[in-house]
Amino acid sequence: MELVDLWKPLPPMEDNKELIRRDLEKGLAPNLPYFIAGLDDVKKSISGYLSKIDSRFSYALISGRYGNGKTNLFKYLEYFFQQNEAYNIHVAHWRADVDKYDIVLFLLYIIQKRYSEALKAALRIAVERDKVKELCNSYRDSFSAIEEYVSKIVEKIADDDTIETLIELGTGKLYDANSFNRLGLSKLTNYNRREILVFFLNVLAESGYYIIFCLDELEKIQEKSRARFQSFLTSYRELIDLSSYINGHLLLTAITDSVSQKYPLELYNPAFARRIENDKLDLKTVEGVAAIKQMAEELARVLGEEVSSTSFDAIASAVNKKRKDINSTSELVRAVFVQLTKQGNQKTWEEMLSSIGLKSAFDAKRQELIEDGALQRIYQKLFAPLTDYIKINSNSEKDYEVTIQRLQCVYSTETNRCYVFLFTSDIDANINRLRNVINEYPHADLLVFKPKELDITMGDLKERGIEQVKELIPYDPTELIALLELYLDNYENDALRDVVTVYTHQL
Amino acid sequence: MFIQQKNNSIYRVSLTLEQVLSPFWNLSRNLLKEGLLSNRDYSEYDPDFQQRMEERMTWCDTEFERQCAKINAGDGTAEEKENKIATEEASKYDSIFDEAFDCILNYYQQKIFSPECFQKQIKKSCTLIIYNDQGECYFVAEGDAPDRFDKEYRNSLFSMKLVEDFLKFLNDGIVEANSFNPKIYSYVFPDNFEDDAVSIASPLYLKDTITPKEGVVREASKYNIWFNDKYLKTLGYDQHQEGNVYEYRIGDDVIGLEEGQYFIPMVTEWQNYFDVANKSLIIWTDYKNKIYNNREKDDENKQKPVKTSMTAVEKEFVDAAVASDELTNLLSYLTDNLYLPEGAPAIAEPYKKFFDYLIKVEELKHLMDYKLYVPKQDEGTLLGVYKIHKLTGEREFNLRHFLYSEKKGESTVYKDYSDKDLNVATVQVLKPQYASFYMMDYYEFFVEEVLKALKQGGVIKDYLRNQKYSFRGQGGNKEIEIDALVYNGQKIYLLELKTTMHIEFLNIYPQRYAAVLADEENPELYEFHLISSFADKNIEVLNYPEEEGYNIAREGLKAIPYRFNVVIPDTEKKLHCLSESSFNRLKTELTRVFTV
Repeated sequence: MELVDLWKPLPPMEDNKELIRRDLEKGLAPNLPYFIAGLDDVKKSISGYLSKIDSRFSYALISGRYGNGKTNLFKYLEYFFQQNEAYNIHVAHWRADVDKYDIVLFLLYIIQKRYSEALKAALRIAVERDKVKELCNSYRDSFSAIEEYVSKIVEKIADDDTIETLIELGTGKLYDANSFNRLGLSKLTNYNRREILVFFLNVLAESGYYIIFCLDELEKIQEKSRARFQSFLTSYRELIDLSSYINGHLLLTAITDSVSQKYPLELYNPAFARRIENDKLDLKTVEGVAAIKQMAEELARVLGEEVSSTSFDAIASAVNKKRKDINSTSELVRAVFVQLTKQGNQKTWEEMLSSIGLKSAFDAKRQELIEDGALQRIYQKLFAPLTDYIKINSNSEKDYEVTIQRLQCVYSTETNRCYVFLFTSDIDANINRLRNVINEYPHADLLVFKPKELDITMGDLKERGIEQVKELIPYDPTELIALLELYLDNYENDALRDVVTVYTHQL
Repeated sequence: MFIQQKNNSIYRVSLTLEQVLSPFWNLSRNLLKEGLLSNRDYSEYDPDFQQRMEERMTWCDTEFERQCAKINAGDGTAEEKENKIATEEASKYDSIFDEAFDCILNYYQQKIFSPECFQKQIKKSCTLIIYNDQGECYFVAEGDAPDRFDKEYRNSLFSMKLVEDFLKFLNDGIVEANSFNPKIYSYVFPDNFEDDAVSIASPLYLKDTITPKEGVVREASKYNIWFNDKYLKTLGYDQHQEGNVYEYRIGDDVIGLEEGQYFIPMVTEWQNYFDVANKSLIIWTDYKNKIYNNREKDDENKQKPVKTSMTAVEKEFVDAAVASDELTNLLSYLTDNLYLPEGAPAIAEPYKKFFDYLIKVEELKHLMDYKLYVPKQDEGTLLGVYKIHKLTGEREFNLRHFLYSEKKGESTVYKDYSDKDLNVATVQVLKPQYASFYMMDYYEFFVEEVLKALKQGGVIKDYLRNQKYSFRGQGGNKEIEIDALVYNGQKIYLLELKTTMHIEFLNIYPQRYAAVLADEENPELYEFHLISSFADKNIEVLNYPEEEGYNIAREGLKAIPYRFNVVIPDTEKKLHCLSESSFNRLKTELTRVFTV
């Protein structure tokens, strides 16, 4: 399939502009699914897969460090195919689920959730065209196990309700023996569901309906349990083995490179590593003056900034000079933005710390904390010095309500602000936490401190109807703990207190 | 109104049993290779596994052949190809090993997520547990419970001897495994419960109060619910009857569950999806679940604990007051809420046991602020007062007073040791067992008797006594103690109970309630009452007109019984004031108040 204009910049959504600007001003990586600067090799590979999306099943494992635009890439694809509906390509962007560590079952789950209507229509077409048997590998080999099930679909094709039930039995939404008995079927096992997935995907492809499955944050499974990740890779490997039977679609999976650096896939699962070898895409930090210039131009376009073309060269070269301080694409975006808007006259907390000669003391403190295992039960380690800091600096105990359990926030009765500290990179869990805080302080303005691994933006919050968050502040908990402890050791040092105030946004 | 202090939360519990079991499994796999599949009996874990395994092996073998052919046909040296094929061979049955291990994990998980296990181990920390046979499990508990789950669950895993059982299977029963340290289970339970928690107010409501809005689907659920009967009891709910579980869904999201008479919310904003026929019942349920109650403070300025029950003698006193107005009328003559002065009506026989005949001594030079009560006796020493430290320049003796009595003809005279006559009176004083009880708690217990009778008679649905809440006042949060909350099915009545009503209260309480009501969305659901046994004389200046036997002297009663309203500022509400000491009249009055 030929995709015209793929990777061309997309028109930005108007109401998103302000959010993007605010995120950038706060130093966050905003959702920018309107362009992909640089990354020519990755674009080329994905274009290659997409050119065959109507004929064969492709797959790729994308790895890259935090902030290098994995999610942005998926969002771009999602937005591109929304803008270009005629291709009938649908992007299913999902984060890995630690409790769904069989990739086949997970894809079926997605089909059930998102594409069951499309599948129903596609089944009708396949039956009409008398293609069912062919799409099911003519029931050869292991496909013979699902012949009974598939025949039932053909038999009941006119009966909408039964077809829905059959889809649910196939995807595993319904799994109990009774539901199978009622239709006179023998129970399907999870092994059979491998063939079912092949069949469903073929049926969808036959009707000209294609899916790009984007599974993000695979590292979540690995963080939860290595045994699960191992299982996940085994199922992934089996899916690859089945791919020759599938006539379309694309699977893009993404993982941060911190995982693969620590435990290379070859050690985890050599059979999987061998199969994915040629389909690993490395998402490098964007670099080079040309790519930076392109980024500046696109950012200016999205934000509606008026910049002359010669200025773009100046911006690109200025940013490029700072190259060694920039560790990820999102930091690059931020640096470009600063140049573009000529921001950045204010002193940062680090500069303030250096100017009072405490930077090295701070670094030593932080190092010591990390070595002492500050990352375990980190919220307790933060709240202990934080509570002391608040006690020292408030007039009365009534000024602040500190909730360490569950909410992990500090509410100021004076300013009606609620400072929420997040620690993990799990978006759903953190959204839940924010909802809980809002439930407790429905009228407060929320200032949310987020660790850098947590990919969340004001735009994401707005999408989920969370309006109370006024600022989203990137932070590193170990930095804040170190800063607070340093302050507690020198609590008469007002300049140091000012640093804490800047860091915590006036807490 | 009041600040929500306590939350219940729904915690998703996802066990990582594999963290504990996989090292043993992997070791066995390395040692036994395919023997771990073929020489072990999996039927206890999953009766169908054997058959699935055999079918699957054929697939794996074919796939292996295919991969070998591909490798052989591909690029690379012979050695490279050999290595690749070796890798394939070693991992040929990976998915079967995974499936086998999964069966085992599922089996143990279902054992752990079973009512028997909950009943035995988890009854301390959870109100409810929602679970299904797919390993999904939610604990519903108070916000600070996770630390407790952790311990309880670890103990339960320990007592189930999971690892021992698993090892017995792995080594085919040849070696008996010894007990492992419970710490081995610490990896099974996630330590970041709080992250996933969904905050809700009460864990359960009565189902009859809510109707799903359009678009909400109700259907048979795959979830089971385990109710902690002990908790239900403390919440004042009936024991639950097991029944079918239904779930309410919006699309695929479960927003609530229903079993028997209960509705269990599954999302914070569940009220958006339901019409609530009677909002007051939802609010009342939240009061009963104590979600507004202040947390117990463990700091040094801990307040005196609320008296929740009476001693036998106190009860006797209240019972006597409930039984007849004779005693309550007599109490209206008490001065200082303590003694009957001379000239008060005579004490009828049944009530004499509550009083002592004592001598009241006043205006002692060094104790001008005090009234002393000493035993009445014809002759002898009564009381000495000796000051330990003298101030500089003080000329008095350390022995300030020394009281005694002596017979003078027919009468007795009371003197200080300096031979001075004393200002004394013979009075009848409430005995010590009753005196402080009468001042502090009597009327609350007395009113509770009325409320009990009204609840029994169906006039009110329920009531709560002595609850401490907080509200957002000017300059910070303020604590408030509500003597009684009454619910009649439609409204919630807040009662402030006093032994004696003073005129200052008519200023203090309306202002306090105005602040309490300031941010209330449903003020129409609340009523405020100030109720006292008697009223101070200073109320008289307000000159309330007579009304149905109130605001006018009543025979046998020294204090005037009052009934009037005071405006609560900045609201359309009133504080309803009543002073009534008679049990039956109070019951009649409150019946009128609570019957809408």
